[in-house]
Amino acid sequence: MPFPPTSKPAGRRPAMKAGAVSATAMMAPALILVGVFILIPAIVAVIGSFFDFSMTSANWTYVGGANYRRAVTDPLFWLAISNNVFIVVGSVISQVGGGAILAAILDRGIRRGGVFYRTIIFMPVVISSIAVAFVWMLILDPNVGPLNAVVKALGLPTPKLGWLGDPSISLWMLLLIAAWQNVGFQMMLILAGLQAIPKEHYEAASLDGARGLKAFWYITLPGIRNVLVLATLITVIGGFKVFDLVFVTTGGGPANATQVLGTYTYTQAFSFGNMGYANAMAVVLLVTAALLGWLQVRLSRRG
Amino acid sequence: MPHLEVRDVVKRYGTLTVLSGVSFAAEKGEFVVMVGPSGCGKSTLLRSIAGLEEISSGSVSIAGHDITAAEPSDRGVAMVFQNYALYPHMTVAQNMGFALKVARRPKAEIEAAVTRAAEILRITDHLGKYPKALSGGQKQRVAIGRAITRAPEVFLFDEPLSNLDAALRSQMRIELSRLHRELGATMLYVTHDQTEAMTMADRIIVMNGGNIEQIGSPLDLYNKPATRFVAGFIGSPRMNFIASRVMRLSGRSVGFSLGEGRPPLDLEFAPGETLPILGDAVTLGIRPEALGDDGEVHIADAEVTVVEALGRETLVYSDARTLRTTDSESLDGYFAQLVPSQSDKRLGQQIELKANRSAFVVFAADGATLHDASPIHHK
Repeated sequence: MPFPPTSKPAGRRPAMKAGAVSATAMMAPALILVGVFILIPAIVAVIGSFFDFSMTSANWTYVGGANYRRAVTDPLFWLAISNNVFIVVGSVISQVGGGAILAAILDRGIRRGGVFYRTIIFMPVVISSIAVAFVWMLILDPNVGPLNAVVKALGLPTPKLGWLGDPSISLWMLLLIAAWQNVGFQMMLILAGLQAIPKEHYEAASLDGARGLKAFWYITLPGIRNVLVLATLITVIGGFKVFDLVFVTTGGGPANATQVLGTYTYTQAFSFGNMGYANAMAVVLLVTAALLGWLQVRLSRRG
Repeated sequence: MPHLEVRDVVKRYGTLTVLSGVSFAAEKGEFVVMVGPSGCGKSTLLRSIAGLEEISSGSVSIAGHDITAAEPSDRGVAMVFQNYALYPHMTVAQNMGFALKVARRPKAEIEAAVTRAAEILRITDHLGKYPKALSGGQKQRVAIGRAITRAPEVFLFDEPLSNLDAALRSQMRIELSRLHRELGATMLYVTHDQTEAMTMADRIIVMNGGNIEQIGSPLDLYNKPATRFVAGFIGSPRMNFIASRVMRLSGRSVGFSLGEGRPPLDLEFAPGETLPILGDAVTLGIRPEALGDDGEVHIADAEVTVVEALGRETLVYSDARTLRTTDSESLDGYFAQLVPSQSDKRLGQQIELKANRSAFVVFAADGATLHDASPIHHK
């Protein structure tokens, strides 16, 4: 080592101080925005979950854990959660699984037109969820929607209450719409992961005797493991947080068949004025999402 | 019977012919190096032997078996890639044992093979590490170890040292030669680095434009290049080429022009050598180490333009405006001269370029060698 090691930290200290100051200044706008729109509301929500109040209440009544106890005994809360879990599981299968299959096809299954299909499949990702919801309401409309027309033309029965109006179908339809909108994003993630695996790894593997399924198992899967973990966690978190799509298409109906935590929280807060209870459910959602987010960071660091 | 035999191998991509009927054979235990400029087809040939490229026609056999249509893993070959191609999610030991694991060999056998290869390559301490924790040289050893554990009939190397720095490269050259002796294995090695070719090869295959230009021992290629291409490719700095013409012919004595108003250079052709025809355009070749201040032939007067003092030797580049070179890769009229000691030549100095008659090589217009030079021996 050409320099004595002790002189190094001493020499760098002033520079680091200046660096810290300017770094704080640079991050300030982002920190302020996060603080005002995310951190402070979250803290207020946590506090509010221990009180009973409505939108217009002048006084908040402290109720301790009553809002949380109410949630535990509220069958609708559990129905909403189970619907969330249904969407989470269904979305992981349809979006991550479907995205993986599409990515694999685009990566090596087709000879030409890859960019074209990639663009088409990715397009719904950049459309706002509200617009997607309205488009699909038109498609699924029992009177004028093209889906009914197609199904009828094939001589198959259509649901009497409509695709979104039939409680036994509506949640599946939401799954379909969510998949249509998001599968392109997962496909892009996984495609990037697949294309990051060097060709030589497959060549070396083929010389080592691993082809086809074995190559997939030993080379492809470990190669995209981190991407799959990331894609799954993004989908899981998205599945728990889902609101706009459900709110616009079904509003949680029919008969709460598509009620999710997001819509039920909204209904309790703004339709019934139970702000405290809504806050408690929002905190449950927040804690779930935070846990999953922490898991995501942890898993991606390990890889 | 040759251990590795390549017969009339043709490889086409659409209308582009990359290999146009290549044939050669390697004996068991031979270290054969394929050299050539980028795009000459050497890597394609290696990959075709490995089974990574399908050949358009021709055949490849190893140890007497025709493996032209065999899967890469069933050919008895192992390959070391330029960028190592180690599996990033496996440890060094897992990387090295992967082929045996895929072949469902018993654990004890895998472990024994990995341990033995690691000892040969001196990487036993790294067996538990992941590739990302290794240096470039260590990664290359692991890649070689992966090949060793498979105990292949033929080792294939695709420019394995080109990602290493110069010092490490010369060290790995020596190690690879040692490895070759220890394993007694047949090795086929692709490189664009002629030093690697000259130092490691039992035999060198020089490729150019999808064809084999010449096959021979390193010194054969240096002393008796079959074509002007080989003469220019083997040797650094490259051979000097002079555009010339046949001025007179008498018996086996041929006179070549050395510029206007200069007496012709008379060379005596050996009985086996093909005589050119009067008026033929030819190229004279002369190695940098054959040029000097004295010699039987005064080639040209020149002005020193660059002096590279390397300590042990000196490279002197000079400009002889009266002569044309015929080599597209060197500047017109520039001569490279290798002085086997330190030199007091200075920039701008006027010098005489001289050489002995026996140092000249003559190439026909199509590049074929007509007349060989005699090698220079220092006692």
